[in-house]
Order: sequence, then C-alpha cells, then structure tokens
Amino acid sequence: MKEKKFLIIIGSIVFAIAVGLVGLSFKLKSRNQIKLSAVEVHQMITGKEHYFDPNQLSEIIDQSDSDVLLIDIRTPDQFINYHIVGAINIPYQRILDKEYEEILDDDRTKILYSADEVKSAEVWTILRQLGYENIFVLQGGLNFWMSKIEKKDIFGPVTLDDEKARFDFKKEINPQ
Amino acid sequence: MKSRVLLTIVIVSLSAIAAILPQKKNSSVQLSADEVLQGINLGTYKISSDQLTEVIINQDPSYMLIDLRSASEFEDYHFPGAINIPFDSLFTENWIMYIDQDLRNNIFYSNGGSLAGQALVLTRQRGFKNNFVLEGGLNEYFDKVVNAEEPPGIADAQEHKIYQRRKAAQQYFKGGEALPENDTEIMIKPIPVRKKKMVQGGCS
Repeated sequence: MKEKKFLIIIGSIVFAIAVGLVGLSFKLKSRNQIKLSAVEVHQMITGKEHYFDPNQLSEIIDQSDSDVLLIDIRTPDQFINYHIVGAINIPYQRILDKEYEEILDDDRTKILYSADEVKSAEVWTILRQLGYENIFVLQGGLNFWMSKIEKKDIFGPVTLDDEKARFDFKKEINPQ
Repeated sequence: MKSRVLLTIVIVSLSAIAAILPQKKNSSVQLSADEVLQGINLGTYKISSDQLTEVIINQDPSYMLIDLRSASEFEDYHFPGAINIPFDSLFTENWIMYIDQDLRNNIFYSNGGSLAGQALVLTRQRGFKNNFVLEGGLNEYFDKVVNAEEPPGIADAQEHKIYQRRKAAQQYFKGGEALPENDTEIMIKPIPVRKKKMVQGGCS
C-alpha cells in the first residue's frame, strides 16, 4: 500500500513537470517566433519590397487623414532632439518587447526609420521574419528626409539609395 | 492494474520531456529573433573600416571577403582577394557552402551598408555562423581609408596612428602609384608624427 502511494506521488510530480515544460515551450514559441524563413524574406529584399519612398511619404503626411504609423527606432535623446512630425519612438533594442506588440500588429502602414536606412533595414528584416505585415523602411532614412524633404542642412553624404556607389572605385584606385 | 497506469503516465511524461530537450542541444539551430536583435545591438556582427584595414595589412588568411554586388560591379572593382556572390543568389546551392561553414570568417560587403546588413541578419538567423558585415560598405571604406586625409598636427596621437594604418593599407589598393606624387611631402611631414608615436609607445 505504501509503495503505491509513493508511486502515485512520484508519478504525479513527473507528470506535472512534463505538462509545465510543454506549456512553457508553447508560451515561449507563440511570441517572437520566426514565421517566414530567411529565404522567403531574402526574396522580398531582392524585389526591394521593403522600401517606402520619402517623396510619397511627404505627400501622404500632408493629408490630414493620413493612415501611416511612423516609427523612429533611434534613441529617446535623438528622438527628442528631432523627429518627423507624428512619429512615435521605439528604440530598436526594445522593439520586440511585449509592450510594443500591439503597435507592430496594427493594421495601418508602418514605416520604420533611423538616421540612415541601415539599422531600420536590419530591424525590418527581423520583424518581417516574425510575420509582421504592412511594414516598411523609409528609404534614405532621416538624413535624406531632413535634407531633401525638409530642406535642412545636415552633415555627411545624403543619398536616397544607400546602395548607390558614391565613388568611381576603379578611378579612385588608378587615377590615370 | 493501477501501477501499470502509473507506469504509463511516467513513461509518457518522460518522453514528453525528452521530446522538448533535444532541440536545445542541436548546435546548428536557427537563431531566435531576440538573439539576432541582441547581436545587432551589441555590434558583434560588424567589422569597421579600420578593422578591415588591419585584416588587409596583416593579410589575415582567416578572413574571406564576399562581394554581394552584381557581377558587373564586381568586375569593375572589388576588394583584393574578394569573391563575388551576388545578393540575389545568396541562398542558392552554388554558394551555400561558402556562407555556411566553420573554416573562416566571411566579411560581407556591398556599396552601402543596408544590403550587406540584411544579408547578414538573414544568414545569422538561418544559423550560419562566422559571417560578418563591413559597416558602411565600400562607400565608407573609400571615404575613410582609401581617400584618408591626414589629420591636422594638433590632432591627438591616436588619430595619427589610425591615419598611418590607413595610409599603409593604401599600398594594397593604389600600389606604388600614389607615392611619387607626394614624395616630398611625405619626406617632411611624418617626422613630428613619428616622434609623437614613439613617446606614446614608450609610455604604454
């Protein structure tokens, strides 16, 4: 009789641990789980599907009923110092935190921007792999926006296409 | 009868645990979104222009430069020793053995920073280790290193040291061509710089 009781106790403990572990793994997987493979998102980048044209954004923004969600992924200090009107600030380090899940799930068009487009393109790649849809990268970043749309003086080179060669590399190496 | 039921429960439970555990032991596992983001945040995937300069000066054989631009851009100009994997064909069978391996460190680059940066995020997430990205790409490298400007005399010794490394790397790009033009300048100018460097070295 005693042996049976012992077995029952051991059995239920093991069962409880198993159920707990299975439940935990489900909980961990449901949030921030990769939904699109690297190859699938690679296809989208090849097709340049991630870019949002700043000229188009400036037209939309001027309309009062604009339905875009601008997300500034720089630091709070940089955001306070300057940001595009109507943008919200989510520093990229924290963009996968639970509190921002609702914003990323928003049906509206979401546009990420950083100083240049590099950081936002990298973060976009992760968010797209997580399955978030209707999300874009502001091409040329804030640098292009400030210089060409808002006509402000900024430091450093300004190009709409980050991947455009700024030099004739061959000539730079061999000037003749 | 009861003990048999108990035994079944125990076995089922244990196998349920066993079913979960092996996933974590697999070494070639894909990274989670949080892990990739963490890597970006810590800068562990980035190689700066000056770090690449050291690789080039030391002709470090543990690094492989991978040019992600089109074949025509690659043909026109590429880093010495680089191979060409156009971004479009990154995950094709031809190239997978180059980007998924344990032998050396790959440095991805493109003209700017975004295309190579995205290629890096994708390959890292896919679980391909040993891949890195040149920060700012060819544009920044030519800006900072190939066309390096000498810092003013009042700049601190560290800046002069960096400039010297950049200048040293230029021979791998420009060969002997650039030297004769500024021959006299080079004879005169570096003397105070070198003195500063000697003092620095002695102290540290």
